[in-house]
Amino acid sequence: MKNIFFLIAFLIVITSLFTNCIETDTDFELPFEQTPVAIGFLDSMNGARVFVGKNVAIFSKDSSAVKGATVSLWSEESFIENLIFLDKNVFISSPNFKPLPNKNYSFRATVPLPTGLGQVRKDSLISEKITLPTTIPIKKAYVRYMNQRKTLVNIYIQIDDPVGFNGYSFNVQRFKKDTLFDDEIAGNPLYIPFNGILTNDREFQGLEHTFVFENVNIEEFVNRRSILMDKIKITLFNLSKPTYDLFQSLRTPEPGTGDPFFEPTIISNQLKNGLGVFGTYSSFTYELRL
Amino acid sequence: MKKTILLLMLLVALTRSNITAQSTLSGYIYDAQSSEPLIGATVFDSLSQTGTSANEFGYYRLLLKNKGVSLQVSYVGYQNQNLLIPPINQDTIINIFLPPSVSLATLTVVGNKDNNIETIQAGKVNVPLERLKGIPSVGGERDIIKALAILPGVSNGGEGTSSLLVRGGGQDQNQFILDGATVYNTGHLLNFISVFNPDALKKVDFYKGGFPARFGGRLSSVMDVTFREGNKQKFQGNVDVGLINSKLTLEGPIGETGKTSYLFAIRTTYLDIIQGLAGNSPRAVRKNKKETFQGYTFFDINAKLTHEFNDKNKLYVSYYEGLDRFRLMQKDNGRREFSDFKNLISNRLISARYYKIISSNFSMNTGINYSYNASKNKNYLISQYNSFGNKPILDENQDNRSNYLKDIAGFIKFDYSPNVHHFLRFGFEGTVHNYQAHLSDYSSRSYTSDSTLFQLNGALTNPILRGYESAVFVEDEINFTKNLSINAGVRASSFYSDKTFYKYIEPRLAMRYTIPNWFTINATAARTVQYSHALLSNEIGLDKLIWVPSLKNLKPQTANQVSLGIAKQLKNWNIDISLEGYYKRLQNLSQFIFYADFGENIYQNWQQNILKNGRGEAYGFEFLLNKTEGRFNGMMSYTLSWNNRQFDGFNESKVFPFKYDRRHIFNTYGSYQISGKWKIGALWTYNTGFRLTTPNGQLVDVPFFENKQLLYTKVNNSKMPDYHRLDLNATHEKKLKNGHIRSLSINVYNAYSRLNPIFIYVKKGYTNFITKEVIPDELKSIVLLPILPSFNYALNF
Repeated sequence: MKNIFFLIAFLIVITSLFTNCIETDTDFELPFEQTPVAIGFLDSMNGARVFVGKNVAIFSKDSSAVKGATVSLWSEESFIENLIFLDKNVFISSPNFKPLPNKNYSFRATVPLPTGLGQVRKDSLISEKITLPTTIPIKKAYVRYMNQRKTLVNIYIQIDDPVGFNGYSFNVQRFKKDTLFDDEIAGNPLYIPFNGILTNDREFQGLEHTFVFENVNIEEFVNRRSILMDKIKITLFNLSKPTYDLFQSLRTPEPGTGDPFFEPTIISNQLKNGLGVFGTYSSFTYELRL
Repeated sequence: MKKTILLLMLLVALTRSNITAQSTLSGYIYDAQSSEPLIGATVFDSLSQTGTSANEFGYYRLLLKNKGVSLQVSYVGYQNQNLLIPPINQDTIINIFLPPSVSLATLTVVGNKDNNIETIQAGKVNVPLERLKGIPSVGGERDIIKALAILPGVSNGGEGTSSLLVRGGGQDQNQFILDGATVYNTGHLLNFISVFNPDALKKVDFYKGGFPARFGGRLSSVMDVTFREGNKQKFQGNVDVGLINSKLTLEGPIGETGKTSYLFAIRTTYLDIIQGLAGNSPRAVRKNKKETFQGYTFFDINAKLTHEFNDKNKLYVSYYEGLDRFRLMQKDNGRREFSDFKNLISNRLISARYYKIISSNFSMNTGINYSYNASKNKNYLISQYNSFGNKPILDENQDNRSNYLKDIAGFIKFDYSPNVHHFLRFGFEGTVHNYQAHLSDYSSRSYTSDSTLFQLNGALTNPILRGYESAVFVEDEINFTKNLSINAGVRASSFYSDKTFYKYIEPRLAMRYTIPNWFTINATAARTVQYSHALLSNEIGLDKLIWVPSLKNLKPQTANQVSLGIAKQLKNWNIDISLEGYYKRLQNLSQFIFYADFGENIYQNWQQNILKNGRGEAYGFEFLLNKTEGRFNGMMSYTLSWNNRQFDGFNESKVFPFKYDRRHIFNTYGSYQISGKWKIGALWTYNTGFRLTTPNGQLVDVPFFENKQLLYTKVNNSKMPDYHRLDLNATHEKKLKNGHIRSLSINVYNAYSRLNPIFIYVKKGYTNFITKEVIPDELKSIVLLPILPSFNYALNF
């Protein structure tokens, strides 16, 4: 009887110890295949911006940038210009280039990659046709205050959705003149509408639609002093399908940062001979005085 | 449809020429001690080499050609009865009572020795419940689904992630029927334990191919479970105490006539109490002694009431109620954050059935049932990131989400044996499904110690979607000769939802041909249709199936399956061997889009967040070696399989391997009766690891993106490490002086503590702000159960 008691006590302890999951190191090998990567954007405001490089292994400290890449811009089969090399392996179009909507363009990128021990250079030619989508104007935008202190607003943005696929992204900025939040402070020239609200017109195809941003805070504190914004600038981006798919796929949270059981997104790939997307978008900006 | 009916008529005509004057021998087969019907007991006439088995009510029917018969009546765990019956020229009823095996098992029989009656239906497996006692299990809890998963062609998805996967199908494609009602959630305790309490089970039939026409609504398998009716002669009970859960079963007659009986079984876990003993409790988190608490509790109740008006009229009422609760509590004082997540899964079934023997060769089974399955998440988060003046601001968020499926169904089915060659079944069934994919309410509040700064409350409710499913079926079990039998049938099913009417014809065929003294050939062909789609999501490791109906733009799923195999019984060795190949095509599959943003509440807008019209293909070979009798019995199974999926516009529209595309599955199980008291068992299982999508690189220093960006380019491009484990058990059974039987069993799950990961992920590196040490990214795996020893004490009284 005494032995049985000790056996039961021992098993209770063992069971309680092992009913929690454990995290361990693993020798699991992640697949890796080096691929040329090109991600480029053509937009109505900034012209062309293209990054060319390579993917690197997950635990590598290498950079995706590669030396010796070139990018050119074409219209149908006509050469327009070679893009100018900028910092961080980004190529941009010349300042006088302004893309036209609904006209076919193409990027042609050459990416040199080492192919093995001998580091023999092998150029990959990546090319893809792209078309700039039409700019969609904001018909009307207005706010409604949502609390007595007038620090929270709902923003309503009305558009007419054109027929066909349209992906939408927004950049909503809040400003107060002569403060830290002044409009005049320069933004990032390589900004793309990757973060923020991303949606498409599946539910209002070809119809008038009003987007609503709820409970937007227009109050900031500097040195415990309340600053209420006096201007909201809304930029509406109309994204082509490849651009929308790329943004959507890249926005999925990464494992380790949230739910580790998540199903990862397959990165939308549009290119042959490489990985990435040549995307296009147009933009329209609307200012709201508060 | 017309062609199928003509084919059935032709088959009937072909066999009519053999009909001579005949009479029917029929009746019930009962347990001699408890008077419980013995479902599936076999009756075999050794003179004519024909036989039958008792149906789901324990009723058998044998047609005789005015000749004497030598009947052998047998059932697993009972003594065989031999009956010599002189020629009879009128319909005769004989109820047969089989006495249980004499003593504690010194000889174990866990199959159907010397008869092939049960295997007329190719693709059907009668799961011997007796074997459950010997199979090692988690926490010592015998489990029917774990026992099924060692059969060839069948597997579990993985620890804690899914239920049954049959011949390339998904976990939503299996139909679980409990006393006529559909069960939608089959797992307790992260699916380690099934909801089917083994102490309440009477019979389990499992079909993985060649489905009879009377079953429909799922693509890949049917598990037909029947509860016990309870002892009709005396009060009886069983108590089983284990480390993880305990059970109590009570049964007995109501009144003194022996016409009414009841069965009541309750099962509950106290895993959270056990964890509390190790200092892991909500209280410990609140008192800052621990940062995390994971707790799990469940209970279920099975009840059944049976009333026998007379030998020809019986009424059955069954009830099942189950609840699972998972809780994850976390407190991070560094981030000033506290969260409390609860997940509740509830199941309720009620069924009422009436069985009537209209004549000696004609019977009716009719009934209604109700099935309810719901899942609810409660999320609470309170944090303090900002301050207002010098007062801390607390952000408090509550979010409750739930979904459910409610079915009300009715059916009427008939059995008819026109002659010795035919056994016809036909009937109608109809179900009203009520799907609620998403219900939620939320509240958000920011406040300081003396004022509320912000408050928001709301609720989001999807409309209930109704689906009206109905089917008529007819099937005929035809015995052309003693060596050739066919089960041919057709099911005409329909579904109405979203102002759309779908209708399908589902032909079914199963054939068995025995080459005398050589081997048996089995062949099946079946078309199946599934009108309910289940969208699988995963929330902190808990599989969640959200049931939705077929709609105008979401077609019903369909499958076509064929199989061909051979089987041989080595009678001298008590060994059955079979080899079978199968091919299955699946159409109109659906699943959540992988990049559906969970933050945007994909459940509410599920129609916009799913992939539709998917295709699947699965094929493979299955090998089974089964020893069913002797001090040593066991089985060995091996499956070689391929399993792919394809969706337009996804993965560049290319074919990709299904998550559970497992090339090799091998299981071996053995049980040895050392003496009259001691029995030991071992189970070793090996599965090729399941598929997962891993990044094949990353983008670093790309100015368009703020951080490193992992690149996922192919679906299910990697394979988890292979899964294997060894489970052991030992049971000691003793008959006490008062006649009660006491058993003590010790189980060790994952005996050599194989670290089988349930997922692998990249753990992000960081810089320690105090030591300035840079911790790099690491690849980590999560293991659910490295080893789990347990014991059970059971007493039959």
